[in-house]
Parts: sequence; structure tokens; C-alpha cells
Amino acid sequence: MTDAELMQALERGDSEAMRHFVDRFGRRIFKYLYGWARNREDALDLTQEVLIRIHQKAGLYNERGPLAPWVFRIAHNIFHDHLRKKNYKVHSASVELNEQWASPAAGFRPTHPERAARRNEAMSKIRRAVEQLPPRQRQVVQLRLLSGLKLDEIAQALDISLGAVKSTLHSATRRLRTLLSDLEGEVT
Amino acid sequence: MKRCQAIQERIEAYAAGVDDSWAAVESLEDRRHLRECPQCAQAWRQAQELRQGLQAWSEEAERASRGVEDELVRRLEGQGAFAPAPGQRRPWIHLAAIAAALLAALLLWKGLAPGSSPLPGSSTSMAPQASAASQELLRQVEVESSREEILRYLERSQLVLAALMDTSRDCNEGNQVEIGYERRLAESLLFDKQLLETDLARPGNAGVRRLCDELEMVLLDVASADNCVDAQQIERWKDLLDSRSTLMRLRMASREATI
Repeated sequence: MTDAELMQALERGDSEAMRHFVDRFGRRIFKYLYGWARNREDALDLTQEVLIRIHQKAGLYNERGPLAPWVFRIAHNIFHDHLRKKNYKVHSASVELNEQWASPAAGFRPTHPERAARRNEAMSKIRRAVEQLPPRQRQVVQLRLLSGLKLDEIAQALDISLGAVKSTLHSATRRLRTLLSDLEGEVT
Repeated sequence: MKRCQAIQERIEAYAAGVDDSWAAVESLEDRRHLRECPQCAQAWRQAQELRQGLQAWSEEAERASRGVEDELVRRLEGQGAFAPAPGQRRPWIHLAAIAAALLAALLLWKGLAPGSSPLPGSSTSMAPQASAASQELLRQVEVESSREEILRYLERSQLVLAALMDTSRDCNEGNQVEIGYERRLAESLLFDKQLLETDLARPGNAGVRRLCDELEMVLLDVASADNCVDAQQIERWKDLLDSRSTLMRLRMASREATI
């Protein structure tokens, strides 16, 4: 099913098309929003809202353009609406990492408490550093790393040039290095 | 100096996620330069650390996202907007039951694991001063735990390399093979290797350390590759592993660690 066919079926209210859409984009949208909210339930609520909005606006999709940037533009707009209306907590880090460090495929689990603590500490630093990035840099990093968008898709989603995406990623990297080094200094 | 600048620009692009490929240090000359130039080597090491850290960060979101598709469909169906097609209802109830059983097993395991909180009512005042014997016991536990971690790392490496060698997922782009899954696992293993440094530095682990260092070079190569690679690239990795008997040595090391 092409992007255009999928969106036409969605516009007609075809439930199978919605399931297909959720399989294709649901997780990617969720991960992007989870990157902001850091809370599974909030991210699920937001993702649900994004899907309903996409269903309502399916007729507005311009089939000449790729679908992913259009979807993520809607996702980000909805997140911003919530930020404005509800004073949404962007930095709430409510996820306990102690039992979550297992790698997905091989069932790896650090057996020693000290080791698990070390992993959590390293993880926590990275998370804090990402959360301290300026919003645009964080947005680009999350679209790239959490949602797996290509650079040109990010450019289209944010309505900026490809060069601007690259330069934002470079700036984010430099900033992350500085932030991680500062956080290292806090510990030692 | 010109070469340093060119290499560091590519390393920076790799660290930033602008360039996902091994292109940062592609040629043999580049790799030789990295061995000889401390500044570029340092930049490459930092780029690797950052990439591995960010990969681990993205895995956290990946774990949180498990099962969201079913939950989203259930929510949308619950709103009545999308009626489920006959016979196509998602088996989320079964998944929830499995998740509950796993959670129960986890809680039980935590309750029984060494180092877990004492049971309510158990006395802590009976704990004697740390004697030499208990210190020795603690040391043994640490050594044992360290051995287990290395063993798990070796086993996981074996699985990843075996999966990589057998992969046949087509990329629909000429003669290319899709290795995204294996690539992410390789990144995860590289991160784990950093955490194993103390264990590998223990006396008696020199051999396994050399093996892990060799493995790291291959994993680095895999982790830095694109999600789609030429079939010949897989062959090159296979040849490299064969030439050093890496998989056989991995199996032997795992067996020795198990005994």
C-alpha cells in the first residue's frame, strides 16, 4: 500500500488502514513523544491524540510529499499545544532504570548491583545531558535517534534546510560533549 | 595537519549522526593515522563513546515502546472510531497475561536474589563485624559475578556474530543485506565492553581480554556500518573472523568460563 493509498483509506475510516498506520508509525511517534515526556502513559495519551488528528486531517495530506515528515510535524504541533495549554512537564524523569537496563535481544541483565548502578549512572548522565539541550537541538536529535527519521525527512518535518539540520546536529553534539563533561565534573 | 582536519571533520559528522557509516575512518591510511596521531585517536574514541551513549539512551525509549501498537489500537477501538475487523482482534490480553507472569517471576527473583532486602521481621543486629572470612567470601562473590558478566558478554557476542554471518534479510537495493538489528546489538556490546574493563583487568583474564579487544574491532566495524551493506562486506567480516578463529576461540573461552 502506497502512502497515498494508505491516507485515502484512512480518510474513509477504514479500520484496517488505521491498524496498518499504527504498525508503521505508532511506535516511532510514541518514542519521539516519550523523549519529551519521559513518561509512558503521557506519551501514549499524546500518541493517541496524534493518531486521531491524523485520521481527521488525512484528506489534507499532499501525496506528492513523503508521509513521515507530515506525520511528525503533526506530532510535534500536538506536543506544543499541550506545552502551551497544560504547562506540560518536559523534564519529568519518572522512569526507574534499575530494572530496565536489559538489552532487548539477548536478555542481558547486569547481575551485580554495583554494575547495574554504574550503568544507571552512565545512562542518567546521558539523559540529563539530552534534556539540557536547547529545544530545537533536542528536537532534531530525538527525531533522528528515537524516531529514525532521515536527515531530509527532518528538514521537511521542521521546514528547514538540510544544511540547517546538519549544523543543528553538529551543534547538539558539541553541546552534549560539554554537558557530559560538566556532569562528569559534578560527580568527581 | 590537513589530514587531521579532514579526519576530525568526518569523525565529528559521525558523532553527530550526520554520517552513520564507517566513512569517518574508512581507508587503511586513515586507520594507520589514528594509530599514530593521539589527537585524532582521542577524537575518535570520544565520538564512539558519545554514539554508544546515545544508542543506549535510545534503547530506553525502545523498551518503553514495547507493545504500544496493541495498546494504541485498543484505545482507538475503545473510542469506537475504528471497529475491529472480525477475527482480527489483537491478542493483547494474552500478551498482558504473559507480561504479568514475567513481572511476578521478576519480583520473585528479586526477593530471592543475594543482596536483596531482608524479609520483614528478620534480624539485622546479628550481623557480626566483617571478619577476614567474610571479606574473602565477598571477594569470591565479586570474582564470581565478574566471571558471569564476562561469560554473558562472550555468549552475547557469539549470538550477534552468528546472527550477522547468517543474516539474509534483503535490502531491496541490489546485492545488499539488511543488518540494522545486528548493528544495534553490536553498539550495545561496545557499550557493555566499557563496563567490563575492570573485570577484564583482573589477574588471569589476559587471554580473554585480548579476545574481547579483537572482538571490539569487529564490533566497531559492524556498529559503524550502514543498516544496508554489500553481501561482500559480510563475507569480509566472515573472512576476518575465520582468519583469527575468533568464533572458535569465543566458544572455547565460554566453555572454560562455564567449567
